[in-house]
Amino acid sequence: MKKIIVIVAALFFTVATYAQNDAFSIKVDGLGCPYCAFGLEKKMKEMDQVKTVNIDIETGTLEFDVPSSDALGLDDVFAQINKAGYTPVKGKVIRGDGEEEELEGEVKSKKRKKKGSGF
Amino acid sequence: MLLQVWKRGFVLVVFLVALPWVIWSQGPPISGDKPIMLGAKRKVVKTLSEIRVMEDDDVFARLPLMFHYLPTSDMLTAIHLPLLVNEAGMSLGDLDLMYKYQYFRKDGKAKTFRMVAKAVQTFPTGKDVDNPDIGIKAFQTYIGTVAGYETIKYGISGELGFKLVFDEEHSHVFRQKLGFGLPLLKPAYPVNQLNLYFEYQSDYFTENRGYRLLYAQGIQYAKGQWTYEVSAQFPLVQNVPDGALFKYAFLLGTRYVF
Repeated sequence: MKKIIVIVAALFFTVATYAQNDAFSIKVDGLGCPYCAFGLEKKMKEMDQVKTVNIDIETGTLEFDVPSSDALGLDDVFAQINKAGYTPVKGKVIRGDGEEEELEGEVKSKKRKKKGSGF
Repeated sequence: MLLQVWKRGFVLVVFLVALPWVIWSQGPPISGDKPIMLGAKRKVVKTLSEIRVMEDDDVFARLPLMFHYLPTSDMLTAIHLPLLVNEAGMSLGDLDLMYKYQYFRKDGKAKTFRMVAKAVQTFPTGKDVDNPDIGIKAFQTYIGTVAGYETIKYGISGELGFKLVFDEEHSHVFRQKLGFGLPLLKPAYPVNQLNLYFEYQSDYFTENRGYRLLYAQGIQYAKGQWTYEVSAQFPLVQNVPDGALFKYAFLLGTRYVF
């Protein structure tokens, strides 16, 4: 019985280890007031993948994590920020596997760069 | 005449004294309007009750319930339904439908400059109380533009508009507004703000060449999704028809954003 518990626990922690997150950090222009940040937060949380966000209005930085399995793209995040009425300037996401992606300005100027495999 | 010159001088002094505060002002005005919208699908329920003491000591209370909805990030629709209370009792006031469209936006780091076009249609659902601010039983159409520059360190908003009154007895109105505020707490998110407000309203009545300049001093507290505000408004210059002459007014407001 103990062996079974140990095996189940080991399997659980193994799966938990692989349940990785993607960390997004976006520079957003136009956050000139605290209520502007409220509008942005509400709009971001309309995305199913986004549960909590951190917004620093002094630096105009929006940060949040989503499960890597959702494969959320920076272009989707930029589009959502535009819907909130603000201007995404520069975005960076560090994927759960260590890959980094960056996006600047318009979505059409998307560029990707891979930085390490994470393994 | 001397009194009017004194009042104009007082306005100038107040403006000059208040001007340095502009560099620290930030936030939405109380009696004025703002060009900043809070994103598509946002809703605001608010009220801005006004208790106005007229020159002849009559008292009017206007208690509006306002609902704002933003179908897109650059568009706002609103309905304002007021109750009027005076010596004759309580009755429905004039219904307003409002539409705003943001036609210019220039964003920068922790700052933004925006301009919106604004239209308000007033329907004469209330009584005629012979007061252009409270009720004159006439269709009225207001067309204007609101501009605002806001940063986390300072902000200014202004409005320019014209109100057409479809009634031969009453005058059209050319209106200007200017508002700025002084945050007493450091701007931060989540919202926790305490702001002082300095707001001016200037009205020019076309038919009788009447003019008035109103000043409002307000204080506003915002915490999370709630905002509470109180403001006292009084005329600095008042050369208007008798029905519109007033001594002072109090504005009491609550807003909930969701």
